[in-house]
Amino acid sequence: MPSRLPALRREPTTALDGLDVVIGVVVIAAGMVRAARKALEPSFLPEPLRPASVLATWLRPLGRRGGVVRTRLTLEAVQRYTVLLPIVVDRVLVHLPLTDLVRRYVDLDELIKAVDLDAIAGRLDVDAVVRRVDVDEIAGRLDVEAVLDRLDLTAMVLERVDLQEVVSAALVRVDLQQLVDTALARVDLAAIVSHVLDEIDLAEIIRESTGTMASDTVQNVRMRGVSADELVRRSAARLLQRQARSAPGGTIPS
Amino acid sequence: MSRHEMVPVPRPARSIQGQRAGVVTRLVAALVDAAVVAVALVAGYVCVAGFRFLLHPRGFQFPDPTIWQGISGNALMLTAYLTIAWRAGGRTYGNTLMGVRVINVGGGRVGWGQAAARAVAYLAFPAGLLWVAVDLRSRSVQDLVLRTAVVYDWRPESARPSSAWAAP
Repeated sequence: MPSRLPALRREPTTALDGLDVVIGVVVIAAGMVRAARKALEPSFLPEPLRPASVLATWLRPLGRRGGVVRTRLTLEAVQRYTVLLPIVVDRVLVHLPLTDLVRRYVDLDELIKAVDLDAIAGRLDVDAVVRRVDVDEIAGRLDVEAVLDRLDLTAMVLERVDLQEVVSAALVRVDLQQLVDTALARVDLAAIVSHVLDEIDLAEIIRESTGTMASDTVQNVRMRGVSADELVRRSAARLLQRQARSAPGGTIPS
Repeated sequence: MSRHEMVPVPRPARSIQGQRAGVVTRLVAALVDAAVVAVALVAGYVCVAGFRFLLHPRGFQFPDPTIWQGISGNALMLTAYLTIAWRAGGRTYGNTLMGVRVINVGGGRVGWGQAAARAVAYLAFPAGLLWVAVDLRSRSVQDLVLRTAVVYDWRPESARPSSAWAAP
């Protein structure tokens, strides 16, 4: 809504001139009233004989009647005021840029400082507010992954959970036999055993510990034989001018 | 040989298992077998002499076989030894010592006839073994004729599957 203050400032001067004339008349009338009052209360006459007192005595019945009329008129005015004020205020507010006015003339920070938020919070029925909130909808919009990323769940569990108690309770409730069966059904034991055998070279350990194979001397003789075979093979290949092969014939005889 | 087979073979020798054995290894094995047969012949001679001594202690004389008897006995003993050994386990004592095994063309154990023919062939023409040195697939003359082969196999009999070097 555009501000109307500049428009007000640009009202025609005729209205202000008229107001000035009225004010001048009122000032002159007030001076005349003060002069008349002073003239009606001469100090040399006793109080009851002063014109003002005499005039007051004469005018008192009129005053009473006027008071009655004034009271009635006041009541009527109040009634009309009650009826008309909202309409008038509404019409006025429609034409006033209240937001601009508040923003321009009110120090909102200062106003908020003066507000006792603790008292307001104390009066607030939080339970009623929560009852009106759709928690499911809020939870649906919640980025749980981001929240979990910010939490050190491991540390929280280690600090707050009695793992001994949890494990004990779990062991009581769990059918260990079924658990083991399920785990074994899902585990490729053959692959694990093969991997372990690769790592620890069990065959080598058995060979060294049982002595079922030939002694180290025999193995040395065999290895020397293999080396001599290879040497002869290479020499023959060189003599016959053919490409030497380290694995003659492969594993399949033909 | 599967990757995780329980093979009590030292790690450096695992890669050569199943490959054709060379001439040196086979010659050493053959010499050991010859020595074994010689020892057996001497033992047999001693046994025969002892038996004759028990029968005729007074007129005992050491047996004096002719050269042909010696040759034929040696040949018989060697043929029987090689035939039984190759047929039974695919290897003689010399083969076992040097870690080699005799197999047929299919990778399995040689049959009785094949083993006997191979033994006779080696007895008749021992020099055929030297062809291993020049043959591309390390085969002797006997291997070429009888379609057999000798491969490295350091595993004991208990650790050997039924067809160790069969085609996959």
